[in-house]
Amino acid sequence: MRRLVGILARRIRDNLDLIMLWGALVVAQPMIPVDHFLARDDLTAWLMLTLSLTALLRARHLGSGPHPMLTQRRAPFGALTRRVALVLVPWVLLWWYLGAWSLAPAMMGMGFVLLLGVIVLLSMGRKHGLTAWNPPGGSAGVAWFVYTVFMAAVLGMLGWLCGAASLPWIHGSVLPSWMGMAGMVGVGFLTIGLLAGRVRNRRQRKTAGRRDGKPYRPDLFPAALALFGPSVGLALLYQILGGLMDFSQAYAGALYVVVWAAVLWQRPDPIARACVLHEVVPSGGGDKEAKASALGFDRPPEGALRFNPIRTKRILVMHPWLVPVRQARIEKLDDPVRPLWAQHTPLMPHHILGEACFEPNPVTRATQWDVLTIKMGARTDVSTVAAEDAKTRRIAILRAYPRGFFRRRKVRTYRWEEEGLKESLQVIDATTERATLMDGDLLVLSAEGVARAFEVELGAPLYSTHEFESFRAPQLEDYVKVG
Amino acid sequence: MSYSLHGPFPFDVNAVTTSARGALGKVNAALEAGLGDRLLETESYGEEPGLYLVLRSDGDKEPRIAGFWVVFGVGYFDEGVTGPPDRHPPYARGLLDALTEEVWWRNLRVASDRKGVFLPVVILEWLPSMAVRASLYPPGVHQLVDDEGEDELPDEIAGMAEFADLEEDEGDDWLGDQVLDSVEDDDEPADTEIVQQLGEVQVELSEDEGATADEDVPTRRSLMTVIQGKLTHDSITHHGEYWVVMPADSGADSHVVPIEHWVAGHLKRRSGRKTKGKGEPEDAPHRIGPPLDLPGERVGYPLSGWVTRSLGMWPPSPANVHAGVLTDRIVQSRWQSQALMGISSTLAVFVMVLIVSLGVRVATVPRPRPTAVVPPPAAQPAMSVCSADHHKFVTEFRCQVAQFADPMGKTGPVCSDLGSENPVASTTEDLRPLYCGLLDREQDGWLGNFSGADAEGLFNFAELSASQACFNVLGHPHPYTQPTGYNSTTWALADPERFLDDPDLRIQSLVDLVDELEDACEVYRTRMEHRVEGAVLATHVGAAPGGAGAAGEAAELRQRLINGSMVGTAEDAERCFRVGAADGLEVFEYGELCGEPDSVVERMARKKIWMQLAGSPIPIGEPEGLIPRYGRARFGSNPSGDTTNLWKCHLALDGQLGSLAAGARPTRWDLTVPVPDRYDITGGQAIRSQVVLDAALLEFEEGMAAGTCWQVVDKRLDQYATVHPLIADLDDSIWISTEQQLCGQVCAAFYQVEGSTNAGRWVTRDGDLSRCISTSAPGETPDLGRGSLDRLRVPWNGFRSTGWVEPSAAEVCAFNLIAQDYMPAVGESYLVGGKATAQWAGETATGSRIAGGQDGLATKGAENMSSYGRSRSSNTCGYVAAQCFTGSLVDIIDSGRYERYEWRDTWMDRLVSLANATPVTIRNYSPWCQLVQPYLHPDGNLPEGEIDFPCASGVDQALRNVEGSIRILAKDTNARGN
Repeated sequence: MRRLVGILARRIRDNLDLIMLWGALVVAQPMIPVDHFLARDDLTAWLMLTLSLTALLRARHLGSGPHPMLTQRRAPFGALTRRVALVLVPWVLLWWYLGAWSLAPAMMGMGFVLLLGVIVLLSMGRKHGLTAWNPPGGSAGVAWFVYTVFMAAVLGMLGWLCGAASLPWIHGSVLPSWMGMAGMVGVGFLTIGLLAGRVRNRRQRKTAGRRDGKPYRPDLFPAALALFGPSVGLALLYQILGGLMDFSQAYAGALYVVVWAAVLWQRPDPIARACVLHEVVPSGGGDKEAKASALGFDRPPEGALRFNPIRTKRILVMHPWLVPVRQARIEKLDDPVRPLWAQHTPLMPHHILGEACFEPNPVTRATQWDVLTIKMGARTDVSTVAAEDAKTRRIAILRAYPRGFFRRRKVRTYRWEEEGLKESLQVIDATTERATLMDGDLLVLSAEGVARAFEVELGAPLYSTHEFESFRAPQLEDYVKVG
Repeated sequence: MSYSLHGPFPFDVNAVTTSARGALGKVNAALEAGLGDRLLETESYGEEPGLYLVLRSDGDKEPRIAGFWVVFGVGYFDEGVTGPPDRHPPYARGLLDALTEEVWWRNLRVASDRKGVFLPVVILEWLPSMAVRASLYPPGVHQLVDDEGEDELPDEIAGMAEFADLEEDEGDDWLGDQVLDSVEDDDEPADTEIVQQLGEVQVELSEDEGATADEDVPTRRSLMTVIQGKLTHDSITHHGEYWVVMPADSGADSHVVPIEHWVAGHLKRRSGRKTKGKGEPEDAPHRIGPPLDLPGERVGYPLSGWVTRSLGMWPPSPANVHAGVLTDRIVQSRWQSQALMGISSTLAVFVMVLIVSLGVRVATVPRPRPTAVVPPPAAQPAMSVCSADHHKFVTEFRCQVAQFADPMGKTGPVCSDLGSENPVASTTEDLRPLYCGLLDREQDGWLGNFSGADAEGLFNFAELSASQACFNVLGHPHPYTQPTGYNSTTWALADPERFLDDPDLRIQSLVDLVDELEDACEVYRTRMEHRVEGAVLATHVGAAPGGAGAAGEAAELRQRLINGSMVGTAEDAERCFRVGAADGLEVFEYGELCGEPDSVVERMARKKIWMQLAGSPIPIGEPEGLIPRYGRARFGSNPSGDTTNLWKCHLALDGQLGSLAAGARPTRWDLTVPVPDRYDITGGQAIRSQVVLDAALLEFEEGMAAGTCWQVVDKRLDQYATVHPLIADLDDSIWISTEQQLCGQVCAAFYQVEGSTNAGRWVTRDGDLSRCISTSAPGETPDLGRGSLDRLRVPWNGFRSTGWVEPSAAEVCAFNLIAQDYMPAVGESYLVGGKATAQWAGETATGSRIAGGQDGLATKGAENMSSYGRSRSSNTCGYVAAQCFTGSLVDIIDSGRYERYEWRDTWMDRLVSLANATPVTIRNYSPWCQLVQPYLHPDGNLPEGEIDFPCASGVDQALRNVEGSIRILAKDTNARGN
């Protein structure tokens, strides 16, 4: 049960953008006039709008992408134009479908105009994500032309069968409208996913081959899943609703599209997370001025004897820290492409606190980058007893709001040492093997009666090895020159 | 199977996984390139610090990766493990993680004997130059001595940490010094370097204190920690664990064991996580295993822990060595996990949509909330049945009802029928009983048959009237015309089936109207039948209240019968029944059918068409009752009698069906049952006595018929239980007749001589007693008890000179109680001399079985005592005295003024009064007592010595017998001692 809840919470957190998008669509749905184009009862327009907005947020390629050892170019404007092009794709498909549905050449023409715009935008953003290696192989232009013609034919046929076509022995349209709706969504996901990739990437992988020496095999499953997964599910959803799916149930269709966007266009896991240790000092720094009246017994004493983790003040000293994220999956297993050159695995810097990384969640077994785990091994900073010298160093980690803090009952009189302190304080001594850090935790290092405190800030995740390697490694003196 | 080492490769203690992945990449590339033989040829001895890969060769097969071998050099003093708090074997986790990251089961050529399972070995070796300085040094060597021959080098060992600090301070790059990537270029063995840095030390073999100096064991002796890993994977997850292979204490055994044999013998496929450290005492010291033959002319001693950078042993005890676990990794293929995610997400959406849909449905279901009471809407000004002109329909409907209910019947077009020449005659009379009568004709099998032959033309008269009214109002539409029957161009009848039942043609408003009227008629018919039934019962049983004596008893009997028969009956039915029994059938308004109007009447009053049928009767002369009008409409002017018993009885009592053999019918016990021929709720013709009622009901049970009305009454009285005979079943085998027995029981129960279980339900006591008693003098012709009830009598009650003195009921009962042996006796007999009561009483005639004959001892005794010269024996006087004394006793009981315990004293007082009374006085009311009066003395003494002493003795003996009997009766026990 804990695992299920954990997985659910993780999915919700990872897809908050999509959830908010769905919420916005639910709110907007009643505001659409019933005679508006988007309020068509076959839901094609509303679902294409949903798909278009999800593409704006999450669209990415369906396949494996470029060779992982190649660095992609960054072109912000190109990224923008490519994103806009992907957003327009559902509308191209919709106009084609509706044009065939009603045998309206003007609508089909509108679709081709939009297609032209997509092509222009893609060409404007061709530099973005480009990798250097361009091995010989099939032409991208030919591939896209064939795909475009094929898709136009498929959508035209689908729209015609669902709309204008009639057979003497069938009452009404040849195909029910929900089949057109479901097919449109599947084709939309597939087309956006394919356009987000590059033919060059496939040539690269084909040329490189696999790590085990076997030839490259194109991964067809993502494309098949994008085409058939949403379509079949949407058709089933239509049946569940008893065939009464019209614009009043548009929220259900939109939810379905949003969910499948989360399935097909998952966020990648970072390989590391940039963290910062801010040096902090207690705010106030001493005993408070004695008050005229005595404090009640229910008020804990304040002053130098106590260190309040939420009453700190940052000074201008900070220490960047790059903490790797230990992946729940194995990179070489997922992408067994042959390396292009001898692979150099970046050295993981040793931290004075020990071996730090974001371990996978022990319950869900999924990659996580919110709880930093430090393996307190092979160190001399805690307590060292040398021949003629005895140094006592103490590390404590203070967590202002541990898990369950807000659910705890109020502490009554004469109970200064709240139960919460037990979870709020991790004392690292000679027997401590592991410690965990979360965003906002305070790290207090004391040696020989002098203490320094650092506030942990978990920063932005890093997704590429390039960023990881260019990061300034923390220096030993950043941390050990205490006292 | 042989093992070889390949290396050394750079080993950074702070980047173990990276170091291992580099080494694995190089060796695996060589193996994939088919250079396994070259690798074996360039086998290393592992004498240089760094990381080695262990290759395993099985015969001629290509070598495969079997594990890691780490040899520590001088850098270990800086970056080696410090000891606490780690309990897990060092470096193994990073090395095994490297295997996992490199996907050992797919990308590496590993020595895996079973698919999905790899048991790599990790060996950590501290070279001899370090080993001799360790706190637990190899056996057979002197630990460390300096040039001066002192034991130990505490300063050097203790200053290892400071040495590390020194190195750190001196280096420009703190990280660079930790990477031992230039060991391949060093010419000098690492041992030499270490010795140079640590000072001049010597390694000597010694024989002190348990150390074994075996010349077969090489002098270069290392320490090593052997770690076994276990990597497994299934289709979803990769697991990994590792633990220290604990050596057995070799003791004095110094035989060198080939390392491959030792390792092979200690490899376990089973997980070592749960077993390692268990069973080891907490304070057990570390131990060293047997010397293992290592490449390069040295041996290694396996440890039960590992050596720290300060060359101490860690953990403190073998029991503190823990097994380690690698982080579980997900190895399920991406497409599988994505497909599962898609399916689960789709299902989640389905569930959510269903929940939302259900929620919306539940939330949008309208829920009535209490609001202010809305007054009932006023009656509609008009209904639209068959015509927009509702009044027209009502007028026609009333006309049709009146016509159909006419005693002459409908024989031609009337009202607005096609061909009718008479205009609609308006009527103001109450047509409700007529309509209900028409409706209920069907219950008697009387249906309108206007076709004359075809059974399809049979319709309910009420439905016919309603349909015909609608038909006429609609203008005689052809589709509604009866297809068969008495139709002609001048008179068309409506087809009720088409008006009311045909799914296409029926007129719903007419159907509703007929249903509404049927509902009302059904309610009132039930009420009417209960009222009629009440009147029938009152006509047959009991009397109207208000009378006294037997009449009062009869009234009470009727009331009790009604109460008993109404058990389990509905409240309104009971009310109607009681009203019928009390008031008869005279009622003129439906609302008063059962007395005061109730809620049902109010409900019916809201039925619009019902009230419109009521009309506005204009009183002309004596109004006709509701029930007669209903009966006329239902049964016509000449009732056939094909109806229920109740209505048959009603018709008979109403004089419409002729007499039902009115008069009387003989029944049990020579009694007669009256059969009334008219309603008389006063009870003029009714049974007033329970003995007669019981006789009749018992005979009815045995099949006697006394007319339809008695069947109705008998059915209604099925809850009534007869009370006669009161005490015991009648016995036809004894000398006295059953009818006399029946009356004797009446006397016994009446005068409390014998108890009766039916006494509580016996209502007509006086009536029954008077019916059982005869006070007249015996006739000339002896009574033989033929044709009438054998009533009780006395055979003598008057002197010849004075004539017959009419006896009281108590005296008659007293005689017959003695005759039927009901008087309890103290001795053998109640009578003096022990005579049988049958002889005492005698029979009216021989074989008549009626007590009280002239030949009885009682009669003879009385005649003897009334004449001079006759025998006056003790018995003769005793027989006469028994009747006198018993009569007095029964009279006292009959008065009802005395309790049982007063009976004797009162009786004695009465005897005293009798003794003091004058004979003339006594003669007028009790001839029996006059005969014995001379023998009664107020003081109670017998006239001893006198000539009539025997008679006085008989009287006295009779007195004692009666007194004893009184004592028994005073104890409230019956005569038979029960």
